[in-house]
Amino acid sequence: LLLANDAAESRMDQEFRLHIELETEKLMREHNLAPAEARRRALAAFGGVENHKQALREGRGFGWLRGLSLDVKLAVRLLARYPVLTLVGGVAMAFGIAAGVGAFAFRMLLVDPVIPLDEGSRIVGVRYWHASRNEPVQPTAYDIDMWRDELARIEDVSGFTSFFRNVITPDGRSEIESVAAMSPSAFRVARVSPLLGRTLLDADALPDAPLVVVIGHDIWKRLFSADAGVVGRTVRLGREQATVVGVMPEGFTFPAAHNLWVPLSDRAGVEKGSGLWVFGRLARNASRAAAQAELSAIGARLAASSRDTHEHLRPQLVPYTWLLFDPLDPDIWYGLTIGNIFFVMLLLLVSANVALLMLARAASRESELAVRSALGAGRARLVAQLFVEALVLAGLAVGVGLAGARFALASLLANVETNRGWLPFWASDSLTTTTVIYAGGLALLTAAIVGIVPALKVTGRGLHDRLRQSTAGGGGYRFGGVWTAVIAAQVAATLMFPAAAFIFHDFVVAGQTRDVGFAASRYVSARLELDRDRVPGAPLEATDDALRMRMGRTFATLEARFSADAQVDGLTFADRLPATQHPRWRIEIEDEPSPADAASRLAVSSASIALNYFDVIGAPVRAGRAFSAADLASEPRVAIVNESFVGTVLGGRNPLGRRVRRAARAQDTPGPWLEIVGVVKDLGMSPEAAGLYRPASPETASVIQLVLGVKGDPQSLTSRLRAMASEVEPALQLHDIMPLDQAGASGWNDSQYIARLMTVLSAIALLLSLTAIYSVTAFTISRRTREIGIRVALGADRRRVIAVILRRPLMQVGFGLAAGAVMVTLTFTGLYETTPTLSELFLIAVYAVIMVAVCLLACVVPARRALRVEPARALTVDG
Amino acid sequence: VSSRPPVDALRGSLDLLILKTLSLEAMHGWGISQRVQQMSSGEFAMNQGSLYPALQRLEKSGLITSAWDISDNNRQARYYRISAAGRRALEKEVASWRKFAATLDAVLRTT
Repeated sequence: LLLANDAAESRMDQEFRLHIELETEKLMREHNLAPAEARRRALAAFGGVENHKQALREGRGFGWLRGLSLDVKLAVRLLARYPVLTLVGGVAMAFGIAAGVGAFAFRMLLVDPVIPLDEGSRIVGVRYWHASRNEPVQPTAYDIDMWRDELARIEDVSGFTSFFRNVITPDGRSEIESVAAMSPSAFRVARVSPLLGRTLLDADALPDAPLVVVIGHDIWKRLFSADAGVVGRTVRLGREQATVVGVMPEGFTFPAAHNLWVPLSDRAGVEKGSGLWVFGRLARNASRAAAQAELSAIGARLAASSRDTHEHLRPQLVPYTWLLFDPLDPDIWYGLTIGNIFFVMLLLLVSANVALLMLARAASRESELAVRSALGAGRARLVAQLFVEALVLAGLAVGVGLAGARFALASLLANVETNRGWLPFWASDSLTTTTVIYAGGLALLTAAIVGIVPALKVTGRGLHDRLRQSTAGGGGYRFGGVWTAVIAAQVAATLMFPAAAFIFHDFVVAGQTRDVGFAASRYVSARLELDRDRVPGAPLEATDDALRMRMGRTFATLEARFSADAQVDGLTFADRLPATQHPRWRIEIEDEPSPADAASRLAVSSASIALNYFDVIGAPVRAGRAFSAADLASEPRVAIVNESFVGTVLGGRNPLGRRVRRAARAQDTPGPWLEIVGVVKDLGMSPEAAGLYRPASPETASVIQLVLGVKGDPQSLTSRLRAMASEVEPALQLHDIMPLDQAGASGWNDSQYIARLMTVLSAIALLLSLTAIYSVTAFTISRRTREIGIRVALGADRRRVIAVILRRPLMQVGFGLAAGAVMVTLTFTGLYETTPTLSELFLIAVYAVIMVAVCLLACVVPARRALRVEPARALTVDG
Repeated sequence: VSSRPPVDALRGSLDLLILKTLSLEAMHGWGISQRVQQMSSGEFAMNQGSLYPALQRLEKSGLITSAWDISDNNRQARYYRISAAGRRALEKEVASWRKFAATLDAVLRTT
């Protein structure tokens, strides 16, 4: 537009020049005038050149644009004139925009991410929706075969499943890796060529084909030192030998976060009937709707013909990423919604802040606005100008906000990767066009709130009356009741946000540093798993039984091998580690009617442990007896409880010989009666401190968390553990090897991240709020300079004057503090179900004092300035 | 009494004069101003620059078009040309002007 404007200007100049030259020449020719005189007359005949230019410019129809550019110039000049307000307002907006955009970008990443593959948006997922249970159901290899034959609008229908395997190189290096057993056609869906060798072929998936594997760039570098001759070598995947046939390029971790690909076949240990993630590529020119229609037709036919298996199954086309993260899943949806509400609240808080600042500024320019209005500027024109000012500020803020959002997103993803150990390949911190557009929209919205609302308020009815007053020496704009409420709300929110963050932080730290009752740093823990090998032709339960038996045998060998190591000082296991979350049981006590307060009193934590558990961690049974081998003979009928159990559940009565059981839940029978045979001290159970232990063997435990006593440096042992385990059994996987005192804390990583995030956000919000409260209070006081002058001139005592001035701001802050205190109390009781500790109360009090101090400072500084001014001069002050 | 018409009347008739001038041939701005002066025998004394807003107005309403070309003495000039719509407007304006002038004349005679 500006370019077009320039071009039009230069054409106009050229045309005028030619006219004047021709006229000059004519005058010289016909009247024999000297060139200078001829030119003078030509110019006179033409009339005012600039006037005509202006007429043409206006005629060109971009008048509003020049008005706008004038507004922009004015806005920039004003922003530069009030640097502090600009800085605070800009930072506040940038912060708000960053928070809003960050939340939006994260949401987009979950709901509609960009898939970084060739025409990635045409890769779609296919799943069943169970019409009566209302939940997704995974299709099987049979479904894939059928769809591949019948679907014309989805090509290369493929499936994958994922499991862990020990990857053991010929030189004995061992790592646990996530393996994708995947249809060879999936490589065609991804459209990525291998770096070395080949990808999987359809022939590799035939039942008697030898096992082959394609490895990722990462593994190629780490386990094979980027050896160019790796193709053709063998590698062990658990108990199987596989031949490496190809290496994929860097960054390829399709279908989710994988580095190893084997064909989807019986040979790779995948049952034909087990559930798979299914996907394909939309055929050329096929729309999603058309593909869904085709799928539905096949589904309807199948539901009629195979009633026993497919009656309730409705095939459903979904975005590819929804296979792994379904944003409609109630849990994810809930989390997203809560997160969004938090950020919207934050944005509102920030907007209110900036609006206050802008109102203060707009009010201070009231005389200017009134004069302009008197000179004929319409209200719309004035509001537009203030809006443009806010927009310029918002424009600056958007740049900073986008950078901030990107930083926040990167940090969030890094946190997820650290805690979960992996990130799907489409998780990227780069902001999409949609996100940038959203940021622009947010900036417009912010500018509208921040610019238009105060502008309407200031330019509203009474502007001229106030102009008359202010030129006559009266008041000018006053902050009315609405703004008192806004300031009070601001104070309350400012009190609540950091308090909530602080308390949550405390809560997390307490959880992380929970006393487990023994020297946990002297132990190392790891989760033990075995490859789930297929038993050909056997039903699933047989495979599970075989797995349990094998686990029992393997554990015995492992125990012997580890115990022989000079650094190992005892070995045991439990299904839950101390300081981590345990299953929560509601229990019944035999011969005891459930009392009214049963709900809270009879909730306990539960764990299954090895017979030697208490001996190995050095916490012998304090009363009664330990578990013995006889307790495992049949289904366990015994339990050992901790001291909290005795205290809270039994009220200190003797527990030995009493029988307890898990209470029946909604549609469930109660558990078997368990006789309490012993008592131990509390060993860091949560969520309930009261807990009971049941005996377990490696065959019966649902999860095996290995606990090893360590002599000397734990680090030197952990680095050897995996290799030692692989020697015993290649199919044995050791997950999450770490010192036992960190195992508890690792469960809190997410909470810790959220606590940190809340702290940072609250700190910024706090700073902004304090600045806004300061500016607005200081501003309103400085508007009363005249009044102060008059009071002093009339002989008022200075202290009395200050008292009068302080009354209103202090009341505002007082209201806010009271409301904030109520909200903090509600947060405590509602969210954390605790009462604040003494130190927390003290900190909140300190915090309130700081806020009052800021308010006082904001009152006193301008008030002192006003008092120092000579009364006669104060009277001349505008406003 | 000056023979000059009042300014408003001049402004209204300027468009008519321009259209009339351009109905003979395409011209650049200075040429038009010369021709207007010539045709009105110097009676319409006005700022030559006032021509350009009128040209812009006429072009905007589609009665004339303009294009850059080389003039007789080899200079870049913007040539204005009357459009079909312009010719129709000219005919209509001329007719209504004649009628108006005749009516005015008749009124003046009777009084």
